[in-house]
Amino acid sequence: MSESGLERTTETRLLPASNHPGAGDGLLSPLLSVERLEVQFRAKHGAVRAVNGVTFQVSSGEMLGLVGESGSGKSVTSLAIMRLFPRDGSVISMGRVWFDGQDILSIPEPAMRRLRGRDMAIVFQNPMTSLNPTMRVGLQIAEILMVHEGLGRRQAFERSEALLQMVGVPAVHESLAKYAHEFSGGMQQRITIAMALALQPRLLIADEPTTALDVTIQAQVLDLIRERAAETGMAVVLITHNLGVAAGLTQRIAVMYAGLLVEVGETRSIFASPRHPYTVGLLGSLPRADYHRVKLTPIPGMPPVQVEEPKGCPFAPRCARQISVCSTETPALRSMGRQVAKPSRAVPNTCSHLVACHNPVPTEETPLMPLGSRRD
Amino acid sequence: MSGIQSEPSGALLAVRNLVVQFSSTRGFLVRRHVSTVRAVDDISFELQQGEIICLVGESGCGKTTTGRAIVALERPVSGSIVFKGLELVGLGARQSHRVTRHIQMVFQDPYSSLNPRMTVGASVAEPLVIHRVGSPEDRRQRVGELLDAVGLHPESSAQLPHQFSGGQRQRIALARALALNPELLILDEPTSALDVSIQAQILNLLADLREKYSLTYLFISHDLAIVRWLGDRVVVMYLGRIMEVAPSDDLFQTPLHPYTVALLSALPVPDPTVEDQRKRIVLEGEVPSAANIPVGCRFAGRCWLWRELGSPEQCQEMEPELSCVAKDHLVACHYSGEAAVRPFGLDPSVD
Repeated sequence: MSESGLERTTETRLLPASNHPGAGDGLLSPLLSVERLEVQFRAKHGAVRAVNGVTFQVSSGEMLGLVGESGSGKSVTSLAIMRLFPRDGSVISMGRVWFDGQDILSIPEPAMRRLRGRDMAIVFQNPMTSLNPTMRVGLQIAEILMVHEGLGRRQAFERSEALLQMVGVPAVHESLAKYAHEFSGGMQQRITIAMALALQPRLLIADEPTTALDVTIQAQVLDLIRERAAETGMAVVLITHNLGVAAGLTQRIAVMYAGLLVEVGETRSIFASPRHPYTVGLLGSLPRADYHRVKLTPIPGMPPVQVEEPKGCPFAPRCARQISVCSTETPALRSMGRQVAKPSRAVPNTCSHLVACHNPVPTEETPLMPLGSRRD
Repeated sequence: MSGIQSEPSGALLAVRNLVVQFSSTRGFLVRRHVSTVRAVDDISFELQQGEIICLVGESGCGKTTTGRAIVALERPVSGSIVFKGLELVGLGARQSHRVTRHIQMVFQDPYSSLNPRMTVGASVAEPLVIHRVGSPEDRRQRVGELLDAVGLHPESSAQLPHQFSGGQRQRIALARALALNPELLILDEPTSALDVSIQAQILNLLADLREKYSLTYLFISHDLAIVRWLGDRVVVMYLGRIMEVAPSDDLFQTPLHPYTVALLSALPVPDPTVEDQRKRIVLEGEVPSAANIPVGCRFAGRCWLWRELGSPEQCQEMEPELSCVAKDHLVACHYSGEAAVRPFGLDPSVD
């Protein structure tokens, strides 16, 4: 990237990435635009391809769900966006990640460090491993404010207190002097959220933020994220394996499988008429608490470990709708048109339903629930 | 079997007033008693032959401890566990050994429940060896049958656990649990370490195995969707106590304990239409420590109904008994009638 890099940046500032698949209608330029992102890990027997060319956009005020099973590359995608990989060459990221007009995969580390925390923040699954066990909670939050905003100690602590109050930690003043282990898992996660929100980022990546928590606490934390996002208008990428969590919170969903996006669309559209056989299989695998014993139709086989260059559709070996072209050509994401008549939630980046499949499931064959199931 | 007592209800397993405590001590040479945690605090329930009963609740509610007490991995402080008329609490090692072949357990984490240095065949055959069943040739054949029954290739018996995925390992653990033809399986979150698509495979397998071998399951889970799918009857636990017992459909359609209502209401449903319609009851606060159980109803401090009713004193003074309020429906709440709401907030016209 030499002189063309600069040109490219300006170009993208002027023109929103509307010519890319999954882009918006051009009215609102996306805050985050991931283009053909690839991530490879060096391993003993060649490179493990965790992400194989992922393209999606997120606009301000939007909540995108990135769903998939373990090993699908959803967390690796988020780490690549935050550029949190070691810089010793063991992990290679390719493609472009445009954040507010800059390609953040190519900016120098000091510039990235300024972006991280201030403009984009991340919350991880296990709060105990993302909090420093030897540092009082108050100082951990205040440190962010002192480093990024140059606040004095006293001011920083005052702001930290306000932040803890905002995320609903009780007895705020005493809590500042406590260590992470003195809090429950739910409270620890609230603290990491307070830290992530300390500098009012424009993008929050929440990587399985409630997976380690009990249901009643999960509901509290999800409410907190929903409320903060609505209030500040920040964009949220919610990474989850729990389709229920994604259904309740997001406006759009991107489904990942073996390092590829296989389906992207409005949340309602994805649940009402999934078109990719994998998405259909995933929904068919889910037992539901609001239905009387629906028959479970699991996906046979197991997800692949990608070591070689992918050839054909990675889902083909497990797919009942496989046709001859599936084993030779990797399908690209293409539009299936808008399918949901009345989206109930505001979808800022009016999107079409995209599917990467040579033989997508026809709409009429994907009823939300198999016939004969009994609704409560 | 000696020491047979008559069990009037004819239940396969009857747990009565079970209490399991853990005490924590401090100090190295001089041990000081610090606190006692009542993990399971006076619970009673029965399992009928052929039924799947699910124990649900959040972490720390005592569901796993209950399961472990039944297979004698925990020693109860008091109470009784009667299996086919035989009291299991306080049983000598020898008799205990004879009973355990009828009760087997499958654990949550298939990565730590299999010995990494034993071949799959050896792991599955181990119960047969311990209980001296069959000749080595018989055992080899039995291992083949078992692996086949759980959907694995019989040739995989020569492989080591690390060569298998989580789902396959859970199949191996199931094959081992089935080796002695048990009547009762205690399944402790057997699918929570697995991905959804693999979880569905294991759930279907569990349903098939139950049919095939007419098994009885005690299924321990925190995932209510699975519980509804698999369970015939559900026992809801909170802080070591049973809050509600009901047939699965009744519990999910008309939960009567405010805790159950809140639990179901907090559960995300994979359907945006339902999610947009339903009203959520978000519980405030967290589960109190089991070392410091509140007086009165242990749920009162977080109870939305208690607040709605203007904080009646009764709830903080008297612990409600688990009592029958409808057919097969037991609830431990002073105001159980008031809690009845549809947890998934559905319009009846959806039917």
